[in-house]
Amino acid sequence: MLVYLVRRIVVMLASLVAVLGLAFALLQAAPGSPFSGEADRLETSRERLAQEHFVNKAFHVRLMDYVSGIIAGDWGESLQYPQRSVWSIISHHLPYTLLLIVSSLLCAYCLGIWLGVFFASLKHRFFGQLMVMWTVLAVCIPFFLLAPLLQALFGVQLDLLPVAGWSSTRGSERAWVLPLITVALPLIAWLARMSFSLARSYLASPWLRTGQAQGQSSLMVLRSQGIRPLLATLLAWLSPAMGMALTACVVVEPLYGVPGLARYLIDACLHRDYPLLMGIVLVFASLSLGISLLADLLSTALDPRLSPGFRKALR
Amino acid sequence: MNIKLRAAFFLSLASLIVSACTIGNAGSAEFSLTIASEPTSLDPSLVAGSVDVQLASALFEGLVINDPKTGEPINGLAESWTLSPDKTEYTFKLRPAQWSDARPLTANDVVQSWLRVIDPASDAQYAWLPVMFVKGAAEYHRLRPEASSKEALAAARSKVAVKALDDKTFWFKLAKPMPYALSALTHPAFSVVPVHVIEKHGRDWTLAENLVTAAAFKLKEWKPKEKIVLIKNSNYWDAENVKINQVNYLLVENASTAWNLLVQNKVDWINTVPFDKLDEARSRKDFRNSPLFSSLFYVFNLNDELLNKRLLRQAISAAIDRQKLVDQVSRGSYIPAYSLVPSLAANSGIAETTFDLEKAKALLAQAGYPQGKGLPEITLLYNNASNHQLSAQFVQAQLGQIGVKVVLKSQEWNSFLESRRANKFQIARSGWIGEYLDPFTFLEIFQSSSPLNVGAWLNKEFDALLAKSDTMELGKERLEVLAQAEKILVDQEQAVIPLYFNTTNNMIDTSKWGGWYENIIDIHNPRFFYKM
Repeated sequence: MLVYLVRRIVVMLASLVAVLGLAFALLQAAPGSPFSGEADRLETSRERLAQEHFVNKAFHVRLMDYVSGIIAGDWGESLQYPQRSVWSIISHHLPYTLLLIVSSLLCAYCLGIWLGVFFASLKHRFFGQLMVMWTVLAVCIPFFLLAPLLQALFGVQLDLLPVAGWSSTRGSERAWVLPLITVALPLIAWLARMSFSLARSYLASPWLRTGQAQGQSSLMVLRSQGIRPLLATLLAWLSPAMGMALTACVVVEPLYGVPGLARYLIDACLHRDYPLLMGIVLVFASLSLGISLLADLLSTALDPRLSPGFRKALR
Repeated sequence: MNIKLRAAFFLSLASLIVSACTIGNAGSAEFSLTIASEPTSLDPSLVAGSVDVQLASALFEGLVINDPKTGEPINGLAESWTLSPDKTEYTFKLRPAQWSDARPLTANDVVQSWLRVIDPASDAQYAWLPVMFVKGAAEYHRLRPEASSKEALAAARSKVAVKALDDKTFWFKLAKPMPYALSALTHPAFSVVPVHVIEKHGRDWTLAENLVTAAAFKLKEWKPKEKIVLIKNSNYWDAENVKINQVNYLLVENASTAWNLLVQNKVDWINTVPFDKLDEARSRKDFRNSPLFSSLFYVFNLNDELLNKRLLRQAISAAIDRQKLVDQVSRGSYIPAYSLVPSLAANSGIAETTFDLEKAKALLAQAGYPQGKGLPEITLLYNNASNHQLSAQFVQAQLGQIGVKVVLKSQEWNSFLESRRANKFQIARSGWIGEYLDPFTFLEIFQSSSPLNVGAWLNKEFDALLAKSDTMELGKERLEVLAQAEKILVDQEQAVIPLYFNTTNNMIDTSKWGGWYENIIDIHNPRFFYKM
């Protein structure tokens, strides 16, 4: 187990470096400079800034500079916000995005799995079709359409929830409800769909037949014996699900005025704010790699057949 | 009733009363508005976008400020001023004003504030403004701080023509006579900043706990990507006339969200209306559509072999129906333009060429391409915002009518700026927002020497007319000279295609809030707001 863990962590670090290098190369390839602001007319000051921030240096020199800076704990300065350091931006905004991602994943896993299992236990074909219909709908509605619709309904028409703002408007404790629904909805649908098909296949398999033969309802059998393998399988999808939630945050945060970090991603790209963008990529990449490791460990705990030791014994 | 229950009853009653009182107070003079992007910085020397300017004008004051109705310069920290007979030296008498930390404001503060922006080591995007106006500033700013000796820097700094004649008298000399100088001084780059605080805190001087101002408001808190809260500065020289106690700037990037907040009555003013709500907005009484001192146009690359032909350029311009363009692109909000400079109260604009399809066809034939025969495809470069995309598609269709084939090329903002600056285009979208209230601000970017002259337009007559206008007094004759220059640029040579003048859509109920006026610079300082 320990060997497995060490190996995983080494691979993780290697992929992290690869991600950083790739992001750096892509940034390099983009035309335009962070100092090409339209208002700035003086060639001299532009050149000076470029030199100060090493934009003119060779690619590998800059990448090395950056990586050694990170190792030394220096994340650099934002170019777009001249008075803020990258670390201060990340540490201030990351918690909001994390909260949104974690809560929507929790929501999705709890609700999605139960919805899938429940619909699977209703054996009639109609429920299967219903399931397909609403999941396709929930996955297909784009966020930028869903968000204004929810705002108009719950915010303006019913006046139940704030339209936007985390702490900016009155009654803001409830402000995270709409962003949460928006991020979680497609995830719930996605997981419900997967657990639905899994649960249906379980019901048809021999290891659940005894329970059913004893007269237990499908739902009862699934609850007592199906949940564990179901969860073990679905947890493998935790990392891609987090990726989905994160991409959702990029769109959803500005729509609801959530002061999260994902919002800075596009901003930083457009402004060629290299240090900030690299910092964000680093944070999100490590987060996603960490989650994938966590998911694997959890699956193993739930289903010992997945553990490296077991697999070795089989061989 | 037992004691516990009774206590609970009184407690809840008390809390009810307390909460009722706080609601009453909060409603009195608190103003909330949305801003569409995070400010770059609260340091007025670092302003880059319109949000920065809005905040800087509330937090800092210069010698002169914008009149809330007209945008013209009126007294700010300066009580009065005089201009020398040769029209180059300004002497300002300062008011007895003080900083929010009760330290008196002196003429030396003004000197240091201006020098700070001109300093070659400053990161100010708008450093070019003081550099353009103040004598000796260009020579100082041009130095490379890392390559020049300390003595050379100090010598150049001492030659910048700004001086504190005494504690309350500030003097500066213009690089040459510039009749519009006073209007330019309203720009945040000329704000007076607390040099004593900047020295003490360095980069952190704009944090809420450090920031000291000499304007109507001071900073209470800044929560990045959330909100900025300003509160009234009781040490402001005109504090008794500031009626707003607190201003909340809520950061809302999405226009639909801002709209929903307005409908929910959570904010008092929004400054954009989402495209799909325009019709609904127009039917509301708080809708304010007003022209801006800004112009949108296409630039021809005159280094291009093809577009070097004047007749072709004129044919292209004559083939575009501007009225139809604004109807389609802005649902009729923008103003169709056939001249470059938007009309001010003083100048009426030139507008001679208009849309004329027959004339366009004739011009094209004259240029040697009857019905577009033999004419290669022309590329139109624009940045990928949706309204520019719509305009470009419209222009493409219009030019198709006379047989000119246009290929659209869309680029993301920074790449677009780079291509345009490097002269890598045939026709490029462009636009300009006036930086001071004078037609000169639109024309000067086409001077041969201007770095913003991306289309490489070189015309001696045009340059001479602009130079001549600088030596003249503000007034009708000078405007005629400028109009003459504009005619050469637009009508005779057609170096640009004017498309439309921007307008701004604000939503604010002016029967509820006074002191907010429609003005062409679209700067609305909450210092003048009051509750009706």
